[in-house]
Amino acid sequence: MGYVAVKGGFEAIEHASGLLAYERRKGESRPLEVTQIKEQLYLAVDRVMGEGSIYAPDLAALALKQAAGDPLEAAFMLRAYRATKPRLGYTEFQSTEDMHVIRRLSAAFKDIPGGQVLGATADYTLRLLDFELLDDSPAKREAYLKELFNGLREVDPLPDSFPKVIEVLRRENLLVAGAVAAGGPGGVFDLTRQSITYPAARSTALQAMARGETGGLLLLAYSSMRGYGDIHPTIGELRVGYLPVKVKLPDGGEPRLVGEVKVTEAEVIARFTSQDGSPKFTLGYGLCFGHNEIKAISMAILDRTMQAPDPKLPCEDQEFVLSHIDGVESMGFCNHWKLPHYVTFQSDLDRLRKTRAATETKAPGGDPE
Amino acid sequence: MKLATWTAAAHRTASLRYNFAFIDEGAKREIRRKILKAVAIPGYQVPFASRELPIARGWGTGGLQITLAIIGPEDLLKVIDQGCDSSVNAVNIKKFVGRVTGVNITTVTREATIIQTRHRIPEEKMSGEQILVLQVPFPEALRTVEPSELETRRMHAEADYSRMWLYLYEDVVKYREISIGARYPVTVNGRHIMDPSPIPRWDIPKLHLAETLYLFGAGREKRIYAVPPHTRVEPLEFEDVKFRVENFQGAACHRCGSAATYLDEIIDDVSGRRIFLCSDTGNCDLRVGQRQESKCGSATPES
Amino acid sequence: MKEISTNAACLVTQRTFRVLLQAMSHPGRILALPECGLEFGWQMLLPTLLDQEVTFAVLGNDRSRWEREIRQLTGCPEAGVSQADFLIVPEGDSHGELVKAKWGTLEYPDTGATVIYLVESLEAEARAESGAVCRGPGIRDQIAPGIKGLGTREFLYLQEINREFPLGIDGIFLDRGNRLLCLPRSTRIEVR
Repeated sequence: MGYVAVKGGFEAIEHASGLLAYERRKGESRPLEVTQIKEQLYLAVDRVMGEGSIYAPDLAALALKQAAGDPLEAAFMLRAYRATKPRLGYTEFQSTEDMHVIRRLSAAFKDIPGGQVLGATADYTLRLLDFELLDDSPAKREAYLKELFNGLREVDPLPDSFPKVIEVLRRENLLVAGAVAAGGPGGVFDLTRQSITYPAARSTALQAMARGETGGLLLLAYSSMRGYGDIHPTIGELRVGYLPVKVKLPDGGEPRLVGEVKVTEAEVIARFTSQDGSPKFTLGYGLCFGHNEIKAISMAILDRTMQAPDPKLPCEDQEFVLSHIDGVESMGFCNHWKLPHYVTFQSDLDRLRKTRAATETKAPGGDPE
Repeated sequence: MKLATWTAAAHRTASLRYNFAFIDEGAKREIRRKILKAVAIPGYQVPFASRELPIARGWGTGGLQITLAIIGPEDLLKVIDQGCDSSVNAVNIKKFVGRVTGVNITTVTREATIIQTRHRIPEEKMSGEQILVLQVPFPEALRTVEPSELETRRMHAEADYSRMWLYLYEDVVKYREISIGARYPVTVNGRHIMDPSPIPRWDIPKLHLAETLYLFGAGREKRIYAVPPHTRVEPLEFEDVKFRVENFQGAACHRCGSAATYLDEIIDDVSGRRIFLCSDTGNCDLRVGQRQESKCGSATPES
Repeated sequence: MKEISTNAACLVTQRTFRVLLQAMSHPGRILALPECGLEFGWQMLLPTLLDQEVTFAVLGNDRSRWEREIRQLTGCPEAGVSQADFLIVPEGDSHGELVKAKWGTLEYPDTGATVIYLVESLEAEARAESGAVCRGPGIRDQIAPGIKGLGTREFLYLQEINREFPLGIDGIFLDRGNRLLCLPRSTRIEVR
């Protein structure tokens, strides 16, 4: 009677969760403040807000802290939180022309109305580790800021808005007219209220990508850029900035400004296609929460590849792309293989043994079938 | 129960963080509407929005959303995974539902009003007053032969199941048997081919003309489907190659002695030999209890 | 426990839904809506199913009054009879309009509408001269409920429409005593 039945499952998982919480706190370093994460790891916060599909920097910072820096876990926590929030209403449609821009560029033209505004970017930095950062302190921070602003030249403030680069192409009638979105209340499909059915409307695809996992989107867009696709993209315009959010209140009247959200927008111009005689450019569009250029550009490329009239490659197959880019879904399913599967395995074992027995009883050396 | 009684029973202390059963009323309504459609079209997969929950996708969020949408304070909930009440997945889910509803939990199958399960149907026959909610990883039975949802929708629409039959036929040609273990495809109500979830073949006959309602939830894939009571559920088979349940070669449960239940095979780490135990631990407890009763109970022999 | 918010309204809809689910799973069976102090059964039934994510249409006379009441109670927007997800028939008679409702598509039969009839009374055994014999999923052998206050041709319409199963329309019947019964499209109705 050597075998003892497995008991204590409840306790075991309590302890496992407890151990996880302990791992993060066992060291002697000072507890991380949520504001530190929000201010100093702001790009992680931006990424997690986008994948969590809720604009809430404090909560995203909290999630990152709780998840010990795992962005998939953090995005998951935000999604679960989001699911508890009731829908109060809908914002007004908002043109990104009204964005308060902090970065804006175009690769399609050397110079653009309003100018190329580089903003804060890692694009031109040398990726050399800065060991000075090992020895940081509030005093050093203060001294740095003081020096930075000392004798800084006054320049003209940025204009309130910048015209859209693609408008240039539109005015010359060089851009294919976009399809009008169809769908539910407000005319737009709501992915969080209905599940996707294929073929999906463009607004559906864009929503799915806006909350998609950055790495997954990059993977598929990269496959297109490398050759599993032929759209030959050029960035018409990339913008990062703060978009005003307006809602109509129940008491009527003009829509009211309730806040602003930081977003990244990419408009990618793709190879021309002939439509009603005259050749034109087509547009790929991407928009996501926070400062996340890789994601916005990948979105824009996939937006375009999924419109291929004769889909052959993975990035052109709308169902393939949209089924596999949600980080919360993919991570959950990947993790689920760790759950017990012994009943189904037992069933497979039974079948394997049976079919092996059947093939072994066949005449040796013969093969009549 | 009067409204006043409900209000009194529902009185909780100050902090109002979560709605009863966690998900908001709009989400519940959508799930409820879809459940009704699923019951009206047995075996057909109804798409639903599928909210995120604090438990990961792939870990039973579909079954959980169904449970959360139907459960009330008076329900008695049982949760099992692989037949076991204390398996990690079952415990996790029980913790969560208990926390957001305050319902009582049981391990006794016949007492439960709602049973949520992963990959097994309880051994004891369930009644018309009970509901079994199954967690489903792959709602589409035809996915084995066709990766595209667009195409499988068409196949179900036109009842064009030839490719599934061909797949089974090729199996028979290769192995003289249908080699599918769990997730054995069935025809429901003579019309739709359905994936019964990864339950063993042992459990398939329990679906046919049953007393109880079966609800299936796939959270990640966003599908709900159902088998109402008194509905035909027939495993796909050929006239000369019939559907067969698992064969334990005469083995019996090491704990309760049953040779009539689905068994888990375990390698005893002391002796190294194989022993078998009931997969359905609640049922095993019942049998052990009955055996003990008959041993030290009545003086008269049992019939 | 401290974290749960429970208001009576959400428990009313939960209990109402369980009755509906039992009724839809056992077509023809008559079940009582829960007691909760509301005057009319439809005041419990409609908020359980309708909200701003779906649409409804009223079939019959005195439409505008019903439309206003339902909109206020549920926030559900109206739509034409051929687009509406829910059809409410307050007098138990659709005057033939039921056939114009959505039956769903073969790819998505679940998009077919649900019709809710408000009738006089439900009886477990139909009187010989009226009613229909019902068979199908959820029914052991057969059942023949009697529905008083239902338009004489409604069963015929449902019978014809649901011949196209899995396309079809699912029926809910609510009487003045706040009892209900369901006939999903899977039920084969044989009008006598």
